[in-house]
Amino acid sequence: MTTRGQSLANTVTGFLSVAIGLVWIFPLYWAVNTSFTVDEKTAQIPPYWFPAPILLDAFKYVIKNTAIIRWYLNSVITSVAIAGCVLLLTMMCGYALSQIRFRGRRFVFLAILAGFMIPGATNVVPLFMFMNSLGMVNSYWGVILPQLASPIAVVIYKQFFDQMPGELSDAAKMDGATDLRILFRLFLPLNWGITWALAIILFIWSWNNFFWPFIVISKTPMMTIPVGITQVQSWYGIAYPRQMASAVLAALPTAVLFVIFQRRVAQGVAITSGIK
Amino acid sequence: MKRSLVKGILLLVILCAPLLAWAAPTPVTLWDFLSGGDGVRWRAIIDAFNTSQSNIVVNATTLTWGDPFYTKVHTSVVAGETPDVMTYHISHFPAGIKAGDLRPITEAELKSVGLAFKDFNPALVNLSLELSKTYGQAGTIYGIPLDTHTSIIYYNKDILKKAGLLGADGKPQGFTGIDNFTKSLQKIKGSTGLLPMAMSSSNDPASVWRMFYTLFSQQGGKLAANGQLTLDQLDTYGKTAMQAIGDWAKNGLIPANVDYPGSVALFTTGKAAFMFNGNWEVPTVVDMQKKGTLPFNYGLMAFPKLYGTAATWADSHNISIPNNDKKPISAAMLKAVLTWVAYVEKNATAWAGGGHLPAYLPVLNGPDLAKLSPVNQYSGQAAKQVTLEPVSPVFGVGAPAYNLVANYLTPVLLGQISAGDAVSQFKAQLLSAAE
Amino acid sequence: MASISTEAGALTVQGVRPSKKRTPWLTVILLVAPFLIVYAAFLLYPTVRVIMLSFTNADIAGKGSYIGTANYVKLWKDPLFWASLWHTIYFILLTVVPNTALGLIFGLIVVRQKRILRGIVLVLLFMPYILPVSVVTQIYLWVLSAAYGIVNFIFNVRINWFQDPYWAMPSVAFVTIWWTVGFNMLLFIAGLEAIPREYYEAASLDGAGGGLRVFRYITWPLVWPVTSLVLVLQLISQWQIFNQVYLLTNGGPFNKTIVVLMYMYQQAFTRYKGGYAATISLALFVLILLTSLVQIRLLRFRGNT
Repeated sequence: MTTRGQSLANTVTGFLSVAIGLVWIFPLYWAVNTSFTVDEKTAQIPPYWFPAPILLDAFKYVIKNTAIIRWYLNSVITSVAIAGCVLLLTMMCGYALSQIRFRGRRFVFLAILAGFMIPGATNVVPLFMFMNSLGMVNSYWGVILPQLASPIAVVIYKQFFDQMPGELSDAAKMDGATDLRILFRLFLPLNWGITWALAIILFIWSWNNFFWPFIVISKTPMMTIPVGITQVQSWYGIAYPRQMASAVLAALPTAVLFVIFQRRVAQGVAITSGIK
Repeated sequence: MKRSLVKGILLLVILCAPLLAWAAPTPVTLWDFLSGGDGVRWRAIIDAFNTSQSNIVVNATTLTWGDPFYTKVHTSVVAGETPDVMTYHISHFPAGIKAGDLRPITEAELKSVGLAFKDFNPALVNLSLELSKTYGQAGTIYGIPLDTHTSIIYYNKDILKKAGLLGADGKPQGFTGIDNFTKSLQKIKGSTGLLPMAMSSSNDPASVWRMFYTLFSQQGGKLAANGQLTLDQLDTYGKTAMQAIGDWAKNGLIPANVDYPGSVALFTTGKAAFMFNGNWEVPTVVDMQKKGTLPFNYGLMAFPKLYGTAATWADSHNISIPNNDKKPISAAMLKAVLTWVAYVEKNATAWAGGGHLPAYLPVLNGPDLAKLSPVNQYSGQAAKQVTLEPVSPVFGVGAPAYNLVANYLTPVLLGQISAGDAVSQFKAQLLSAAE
Repeated sequence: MASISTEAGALTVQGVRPSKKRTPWLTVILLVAPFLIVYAAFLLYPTVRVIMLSFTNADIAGKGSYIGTANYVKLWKDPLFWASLWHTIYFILLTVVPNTALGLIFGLIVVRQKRILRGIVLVLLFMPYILPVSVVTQIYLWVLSAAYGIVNFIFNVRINWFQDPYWAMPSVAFVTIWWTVGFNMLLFIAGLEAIPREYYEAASLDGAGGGLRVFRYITWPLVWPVTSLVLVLQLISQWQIFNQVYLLTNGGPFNKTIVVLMYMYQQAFTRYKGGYAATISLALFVLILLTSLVQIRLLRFRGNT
């Protein structure tokens, strides 16, 4: 029931909003623009607003002369492992806390809630010492294990499992199903949505994690991408196109994931903040 | 039939695999921090080594120079996950040996590849042996000297000529003695309007330190003796040095807040008459001139004598083996590493192309170096002026002193603190860092 | 099925439940133990160890001896620690409220749009959040580069943003907001869309007037739970700032952007003082705990008025 005046106002605000969005994302555009040029052009004033011609030299150099392919592998392995293991461990724990009445259930739950109050970054020193004594510095396990302690995922699963109707599990138990079967064959399929959302947001968070992998990995072949592109000097002097090319390559996987799974990412953000 | 064929192939591969491992070259992991103009020459030497033989393959990784490098080394030693060999500054030996990061190298081990202590610059070897005696195992060295590197003056002949400061021999004239030096810089600014001397200070405490330490040492100042800090001369010579630098910045004779790449760019684009920088940027100007992208005629000279003594800050790159208690280096790997080191030392002329003064005597005193241009424009004089960093765990690359320079001395260039205050705070912080 | 309840003892039977009151302990352990082991080992144990380490002079390998409260005395007298504390607080002031406010503004912009446009604007504004922090810092080191950066060109200035004593921290704050506002925006969108349309329709029927009045009396109070949630999350998050400072300014210039975690990192990994670093960590932990509890109480109090 919009009048012409309102419709005009809507168009204007529409344009303004897109304009704001474009200005906001401009630095990202500028980085991509630079990655397609050559060194000399980046020092030009006035600057080149569009890459013309579009050159892939910087990308070719980065792929050939840095360990970025190896870093990709490391990031994929660790992020997939973390997302997968966190989901598995926390859905099992969340199920037990939700569905099985056992002695000490409240205590366990409170202990897990207490973990919310512990900021991850303040544990870095003893964590490093611990990983070192286990011989896991510079290894995948060293990167993966500390990131598996995710109290929030347990709480999320518990909350969602609490909402499962009692009749469902009762009926399944009547048919002789064990708890494990109920969890994996019944509850999990019914909660596929949040599981996917959690999986994707966990993957993105662990892919982007800088601090812990930076502390625990010092050998180049074991670095994850966010660490590798800042710790290893792969060219002499400042070569902005190459720097931007490596940055673009590092960002590509999570950007692509986001564009494809937008809804899931938004859902993941919401549920991990406690908003259903 | 097919299954047993597959099984057979698998068996063959499994049996042959050890053979492949045996035939494969020994991979040597090298960590370095050489990313200046000399880094290109360094990589060339490594590539040449790898192609010259097929038993050893050196895989080099360049990490960020300074604190980050030495931090990574230490954590890798703590974790027992070290590289096989690395570059290391002699100025960091006190801190490194003390922290248990370095593995001592005996002369016997050197002899196995045809090297001996006497083959190297005695100044460096004697210092190294002193350090071993004070902080580690006497009679050994904790790194094989590769070079001495120092600060030099790169100059733009065209600008100097315009300012009337270029002698008949094509060399700068009127720059000896601190007063003449400052007056000549002012003359450049006055008559050409260009920046007299490009020097970086933003996010680069090393450059400020090098200039400060040079001026300090030229007045005869010393900051450590017998493993102890002797900081009193900071209040006199140190203050004079800092005052000079601060005044240059105030009068626009040096930039107040430009970073390292910016300072190099100022010189190479012809906007500055001098550049105060380490010799490692020599390949940069050499390569630019070859490509025709350097818009002027350049020259190189040792840092002039401004006070009583002709001295210039210097440091020395060494090739060291990290200490690994959990997985000590095997005899085979040690041999491979030392074989590579011997190659690098014998081909030190190539490294001198990176601007450095080789430590290997046969090359240092040999005919090739004297003929190597443009390094020979300064190498003779610069070698005489070498003044290495104070011997103390508090000084040297990657040690607390550089951070303290950034926080207490650099602000003088920005006019944020007086030279006297800066130096006394610097002194106080050094003392507390030494505890 | 039958639902029986008696008054005495409240014996309630829902449906037909097999009366197996015995806890299936094996299953419980199988389900709960893996997570609990990881949780205890990598979250609880380090927290306890931080406290223990703070009373020792351990190095980064953990080797050291008991020195009582010496670290705490040193911390109290350490000017660089206090400086890092003020810098962190300065950073918090520059980010927590602005980041929340901007998140709300962006959220309002997005929910106003329809369908395709909404999707486009959402992607544009949220995109920075999914980038790794080091990509963000690399981008801004270039964009805000002193000599050839595009920002200096557009605004015709020659500021060395990340090394300028005045602009360094605000620049780091801006980069942080650019990177993370998308997260807040999504939460606000969820909150805004949860407001029933009837409120707005009723308001326009009552002739409530301009958008500002609608915002003040309807939107703001109803979105308050999200706002207070975002403020709390922001505070806890910005106390732990490290990555951006380390990658953009490295604590400079002149230590003006050193924050608490960065100081802790330097002490632990460049000066090899594990025990002292643990003391700093513990101090930070306590600060985060106290301030977030205070903040939660204050917000709840405000929300009730």
